[in-house]
Parts: sequence; structure tokens; C-alpha cells
Amino acid sequence: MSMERYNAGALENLINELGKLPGIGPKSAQRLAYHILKSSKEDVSNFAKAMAEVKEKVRYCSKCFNITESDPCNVCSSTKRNKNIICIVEEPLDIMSLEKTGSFRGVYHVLMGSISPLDGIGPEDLKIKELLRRIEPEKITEVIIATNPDVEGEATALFLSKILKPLGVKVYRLALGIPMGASIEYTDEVTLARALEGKKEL
Amino acid sequence: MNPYHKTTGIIIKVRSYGEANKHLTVYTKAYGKIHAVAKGAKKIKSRFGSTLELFTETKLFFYKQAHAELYLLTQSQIATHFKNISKDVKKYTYASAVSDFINTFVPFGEKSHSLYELFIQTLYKLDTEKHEEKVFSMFMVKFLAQVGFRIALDCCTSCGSDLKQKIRMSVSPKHGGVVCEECSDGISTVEVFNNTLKLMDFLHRKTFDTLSKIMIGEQSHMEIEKVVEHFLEYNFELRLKSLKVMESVNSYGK
Ligand SMILES: [Zn+2]
Ligand SMILES: [Zn+2]
Repeated sequence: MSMERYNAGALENLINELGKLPGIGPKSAQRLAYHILKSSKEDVSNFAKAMAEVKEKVRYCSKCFNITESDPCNVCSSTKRNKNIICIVEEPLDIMSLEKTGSFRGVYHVLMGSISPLDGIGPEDLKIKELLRRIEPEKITEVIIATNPDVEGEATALFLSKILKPLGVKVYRLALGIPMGASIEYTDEVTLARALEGKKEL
Repeated sequence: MNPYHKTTGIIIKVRSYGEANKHLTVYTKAYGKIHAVAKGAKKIKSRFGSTLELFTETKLFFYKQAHAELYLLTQSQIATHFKNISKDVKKYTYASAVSDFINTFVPFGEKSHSLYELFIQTLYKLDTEKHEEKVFSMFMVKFLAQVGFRIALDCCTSCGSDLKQKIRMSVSPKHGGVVCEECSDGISTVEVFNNTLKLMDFLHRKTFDTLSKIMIGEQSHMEIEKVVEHFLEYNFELRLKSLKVMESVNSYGK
């Protein structure tokens, strides 16, 4: 096999691997691969090292399934948090967004997705059993369900509230409504109806 | 060719696409099943708002160059929002299963007025009526007819000879209907009660409005699902993902 063909194979290989990333089509994969090819050796090895390290060091918290380098995670092991309140999210990245607000002082539980029959994902495929196992020993009194405001997220929230309420837990849903800066005139009827349901006293 | 298109469609799948876009699968009146992209639809202040949510019937305005694969959504407006489907886990799982049939077994770009009507009526009935199982069974039977399954009880689908009426009958996914004893020899068949087949024939001929007047037992629902699943999976070599999930949602913790 000639040297030239060998090189073409390596580049093709990289394009294939990059194409597996979410949101990356064949064109973007080609562009990224070419960019990597042109980068300095040092940059490329740092990049490769970062990828290998993330897989080696970062894991899921055994309690809440947050991504962490220490187990349990910083939130679960903190002494400053209210451990009787759990905020339920779909993905670990949602915790990062909520943490940025600085408004939540409880702990989290990541479901690792939402109930989505079209994708073959049911309750058994999510971390729901693990959530139920936390309720009694951790004396959970309140949960806030912060699944996404789409149909799957709503259905998942309903499902969870159905199985959590009989356990004597207060169940809240993150408020849904009109985003700040939008105008009522241009908001569609479904979004408006949801905002009305979530109204609060002033 | 005019690159601007306008039609009404039901959203059957929503995916994230890039940073802020949505990639949709839509079953439309004018173009059948299509893929479409809504740019910026994931942004909070997107002009698409709630119009692209799963199971919503939406008026759609597209841009598509003659040779482009994707329809680019420029505007949308809610035509029908099924508000109970998104507020009831059971209705949600049934609506998902119905969409799964369209998503899995209907080819892209083939329009069908009768299938569109069946789809929208089923969603409407799931949204407004209590007996989701009955609505779903009727949908399955009517869907099966759309893709070529014949519920003939008097003669064998394979050889045409008169059928002996027995308590249990053999259905052949390969032949798309009931087969006689001789023809069922050596081929894979599904055994069901004769009454289930009579019920399927009844559901096939009647409208959704008759459902409130009839009773269907658990056994019949299961057998209808079995016949439909075997037929579709044999002939399309594709599997439905939603039926297993539906079962586990209904039985969770029991
Ligand atoms: Zn943790
Ligand atoms: Zn025969």
C-alpha cells in the first residue's frame, strides 16, 4: 500500500469519527478534519489528551448522576445545601444552567433523558428507580421537576408526579410561560394558556 | 418551479439540530411525510413558539429549492392543539404509538388524503375520549388496510378456497390475511380467535363514532395488536419502538 493511500485513510477515518458527533453533518466533519490537519502538533495532542482525560476522570455521581470528578459530586457532598429538596432534570448540563442562577439551594437528580416512546425510551431506561430509592433515606420533602418544556418533558413530569405524590412528597413543576422580552400580541395561544396556568399572586 | 410551499401537517418527530435549530418529521396534507428544518426554533424568543411541538397540527410555510432535500420552514401557525394529549401520560403514550406507525411504515413524499384523515381523527379521538385502547385498536385496523392487509373471512387469502369457520383461525403475515388449513402448513402464521377477526372486520368498516357503543375485551386488543405487529414487521422488516414503552408506562411499579 502506498504512503498516499495510507494518509487518505487516516483523514477519512477522522472525518467518520467527527461525523458521529451531534449536530455535525458530513460537510462540517470535513471542515473540522481539515482544520485539525492544519493545526500544530502541540494543539492536536492537547486536544487528544483532553478527550482521553475527560473519559478517564469524569464520571457520574453515584447519588444524583451529575457529572463529576469526585464521587459524590460537589453538590451532594456540600454542607451548605438543603438535602431535603431535590430538583429533577433531564441532563447533567441542565444542572450547570440552574447552578449559574444561584437561586437553588437544594440538591439534584438527573434522569438521563425523558420518556419518549418514539425513541423506545421508557421509565425503566431512566434513573427513576434510583430517584425513588432516595426519597425515604434522605427524608425528601419536596421535589421540583425541571424537565424540558416540551411534550416529552411534560409527560415525564406528569409520570413522576403520579408516582411521587403517594410517597407524601410535595411536587412542584418549574413555571412555564412567556419569555421575558417577548410581547403578548405575538405569543401563540398554547404558550399563553400555559402562562395563565402558571400565574402567581403579586 | 416555485420554491415557496404552503400546507398543513402533523409534527411526528422533533430533534435538536445544530445549536438552536429544530429538525422535524412532519406528516403533511400536500407532500406526505417530509423532513423540515426550523432555524432558531430552540431559541427562547423564536417566532415558532409552541407551533412545532409533537402531535400539533400546524399550518406550515416552506422554502425549498427544486433539488434541495430539506424543506426550510419560514412561518408556522397552530391549526389544532391537542391539549389533553400533553396533559395525560396515557394519552401521550398512545399518541406516540400512532405517530410511530406513521414514522416507521409510511414512506417519505407519498401523500394520502385518507391516511391524513385517519391520523388526525385518531389524535382528535385520543385527545377527547376516555377509551384510548378502543381508539388505538380501530386506528391499527384501519392503518393495516391502508398498507394492504385484507380482512376477508369467507375465503383463503392465499388459494381463494372457502374457509372453514373454526374458533381459532390462522393469519399469514406473508399473504396479508386469513389462510386455510392447507395453506398455513409450513408457513409462519399468527393464531387468533375467529371473533377477533370479525371484530377487526367491524372496526374496519365503521367510524370512530361507533366506538362509544361497543365493548372490546382485553384479549381482543392484544390479538389485534399481535396481528398488526406481525404483519407490519414481516412485510416492512422494521420494528415499532413505542409498543414496549407503552406497556412499561402502564405497568410501572405494579
Ligand atoms: Zn451528586
Ligand atoms: Zn388456502
